[in-house]
Amino acid sequence: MQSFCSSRPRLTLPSGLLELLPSRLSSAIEVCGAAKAEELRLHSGRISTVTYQSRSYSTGIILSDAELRELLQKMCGGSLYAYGESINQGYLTLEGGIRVGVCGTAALKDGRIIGVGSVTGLTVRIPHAVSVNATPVTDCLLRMRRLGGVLLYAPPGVGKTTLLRAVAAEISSLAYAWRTVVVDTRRELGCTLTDPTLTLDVLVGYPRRTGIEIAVRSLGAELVICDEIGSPEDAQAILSAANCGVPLLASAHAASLTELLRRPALCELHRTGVFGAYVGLERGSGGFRYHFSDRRQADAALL
Amino acid sequence: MTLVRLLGGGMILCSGAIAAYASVRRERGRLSVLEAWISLLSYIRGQIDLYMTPLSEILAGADPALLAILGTLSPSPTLEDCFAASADRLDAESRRILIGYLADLGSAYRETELKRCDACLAALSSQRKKMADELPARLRLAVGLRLCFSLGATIVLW
Repeated sequence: MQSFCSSRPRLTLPSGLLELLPSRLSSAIEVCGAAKAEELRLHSGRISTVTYQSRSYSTGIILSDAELRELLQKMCGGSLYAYGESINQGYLTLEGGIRVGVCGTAALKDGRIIGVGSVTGLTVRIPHAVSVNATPVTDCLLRMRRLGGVLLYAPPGVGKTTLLRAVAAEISSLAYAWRTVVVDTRRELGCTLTDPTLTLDVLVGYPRRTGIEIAVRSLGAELVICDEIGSPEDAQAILSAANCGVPLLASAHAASLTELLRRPALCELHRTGVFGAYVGLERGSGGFRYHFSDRRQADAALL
Repeated sequence: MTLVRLLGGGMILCSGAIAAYASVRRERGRLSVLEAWISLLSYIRGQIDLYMTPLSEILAGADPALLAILGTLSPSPTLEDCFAASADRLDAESRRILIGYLADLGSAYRETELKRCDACLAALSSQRKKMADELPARLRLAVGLRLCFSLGATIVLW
């Protein structure tokens, strides 16, 4: 890890986020700033760092428990209870799609997390406008229309959510005008889909399973888009949507097709033929690189 | 001279009656402000329980009549605005209960918020009952004192 002030990259943060941070931290970041920060890792009693182009830089600031608690309270707009459910799941989403990972001590009741006490770390991921050529994925979806959905996979931080947004905007634009429903469980997928000409609905905050069911049964979706699938509950909901003839565009964490299909729920979805194509995502210097695989190739990867 | 005395005495008695009327209004106003706070907190409890509405949006759907009783004129008032506008029309005990509650509001998870809200509502309701029970006696005292004082002053100055 490099020292922040020795390398002095110029970092800029969304103004809303800067206002929330303790003044000594925001001024430390501002003073040294020039490119866009991708991530802030804030800990109580440990050094806070800024990530820029996948490298971490020390800010030289150590936050106290009280400062971190106050920051979390501010991030919740003074209403911790309104974010309780998402904090229990380890994150909260701020305006503009900024996602904050929350680390602390879980309070359990009947094996279920009912609260997070003594928060010790916050990881702030800052989304950036990236120019994305979503057309190859859109074309793949159009080809797949009657043959199944498309599953995007990549390790965390590559840009799956950004690509999903771009495809959602393209396929629900006037050129294609698919009736698209975005199931935005974590409140970060639909945050930039505000163009009034888009023919899409965004189900914000719905559990994935309920959201998919509503999209299929009540909203007459021609395409359902959701982020980060992988649980058995997700698989069950996706199966029932697929059986209604509604294709799904989804994303999942995995570094390779083999790794993706090793996950039991996704393997089950593959076996039942829910997805007709798999798209691996890689970020190169000129933008995204796509690796398309059809069912046959996926079968081979499974073996 | 007698006419002047009569006029002066009448004015003193009238001002005593006006003061008595004002004190009756003030005593009843205190009770209605406290009742408005109880209704507002019940509404807030429902918003937290059912919709987990953030504090910044919680008063957007509140009954404007309730907010008017509390004396807030702002189009998008906060709970702090409501308290500031109604604090001088609350009794000391209700003020203390509300200050304690509002200071911690929003800093806990839903279950804890609901428990705190219930405790605050119970304390305010018991205070309201106490005030309602005392109200007739307080009104009698306030009216009697002001009228007796003005009558006494009229007699002394005659």
